[in-house]
Amino acid sequence: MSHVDPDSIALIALGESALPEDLDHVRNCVACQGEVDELTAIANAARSISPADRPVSPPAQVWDRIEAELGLDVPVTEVAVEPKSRGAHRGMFALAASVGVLVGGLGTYIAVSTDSSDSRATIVAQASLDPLRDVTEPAQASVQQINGDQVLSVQASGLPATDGFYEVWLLAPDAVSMISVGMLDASEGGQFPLPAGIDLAAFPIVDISLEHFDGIAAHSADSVLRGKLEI
Amino acid sequence: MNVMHTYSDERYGESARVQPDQRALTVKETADRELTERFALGHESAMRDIYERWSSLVYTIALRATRNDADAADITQMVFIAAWKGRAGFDPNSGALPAWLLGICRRKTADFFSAKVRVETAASESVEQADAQILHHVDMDSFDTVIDRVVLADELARLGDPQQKIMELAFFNDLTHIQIASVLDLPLGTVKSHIRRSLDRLKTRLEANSVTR
Repeated sequence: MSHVDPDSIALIALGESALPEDLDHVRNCVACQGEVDELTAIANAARSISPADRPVSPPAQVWDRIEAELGLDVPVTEVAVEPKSRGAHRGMFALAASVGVLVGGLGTYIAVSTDSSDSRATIVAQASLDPLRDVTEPAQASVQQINGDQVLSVQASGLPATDGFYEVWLLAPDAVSMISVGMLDASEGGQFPLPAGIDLAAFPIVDISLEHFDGIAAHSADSVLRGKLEI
Repeated sequence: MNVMHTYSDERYGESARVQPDQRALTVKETADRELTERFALGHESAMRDIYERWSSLVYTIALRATRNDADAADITQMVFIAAWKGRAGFDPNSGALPAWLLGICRRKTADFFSAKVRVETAASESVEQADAQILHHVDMDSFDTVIDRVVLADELARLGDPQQKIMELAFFNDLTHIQIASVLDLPLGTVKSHIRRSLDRLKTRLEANSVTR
């Protein structure tokens, strides 16, 4: 009986269903079973990766201090700093465990009014943002369609001053996938052009998190305001 | 649109699609080897390159262990300074540079915790508190698990697409290879072979980076 082909071994290791004869063979073949066990261990380890395991760059001062202490003379500017991610975050890295339970009673409402300042701007979605902690007042968010582009407006004025900054996100209902849309001015709120082609139904939750200048691009899991867009 | 087309176009065959990855890997491996040699020879620019390549790994591991930005930054600084000063002790032929760096990282982190435990024990009011501190701080087994997870997360991010996307869907969304092929509009055979090769690559990386414990 020939061995199970390597690709099928990998699928078995991932827990996929397989042909009965392949499974029979693996059970009776030390070599194939060994391979399955090795790859299963890798898959299990990978599945245990949490958001905080994603490598992030150290602060720039660390290189400065190393260079100074060792008396090196190489340009600092070339040291890579991980950019703040602007894409849809990957599920695995998206959120720490403390976020994820949506607060009920989001108080959302449908709105199809138009913005009086621009006759071409139409509000296509709107949300009330409820405080998740005691630090702030409820706030409002809306998405306007302006000349074919979608712009998210956040009207928040009660956010306390911070050493870090506030970041605006659109979350999928599972609160795992998310898109960072920009940094929020705590005193004035802000407007954020959304990526073209974004499906608001897939990312309907406006979330505002408190972030620190730690170079970690992922969500801090410290949300202060959140609400669901009614489209 | 042409890019999408290439992935799903069977005319080019399996080999045509996988070749660019393999070339990229070879170039990367060659670059790593060359970097390692420059480091061992004491080239200052190699120090910067090594820092660029592996500081995020060291820093994140220290951050996961200490849960403190400033402590993690201190440990990162100590690791790279120790690496540079101790480069004569690194033999490029005996093992991978990242494994050597992570070995230093592991020792510096352990040192950090023993120093912290001594200070905190002295300051603690009760024996129970001191014991709790020690239990919390010197669990090196779980620290090694953290190292493995960060190394795997790093390698996953370096797989490149579509491999990274494929593996994330398999690992974190529990999709079958058939579902993944459908979601990403890739031929089944491509997804299967990417899964196998990516698992092998993660395994190799984990083994290469495994620290002598």
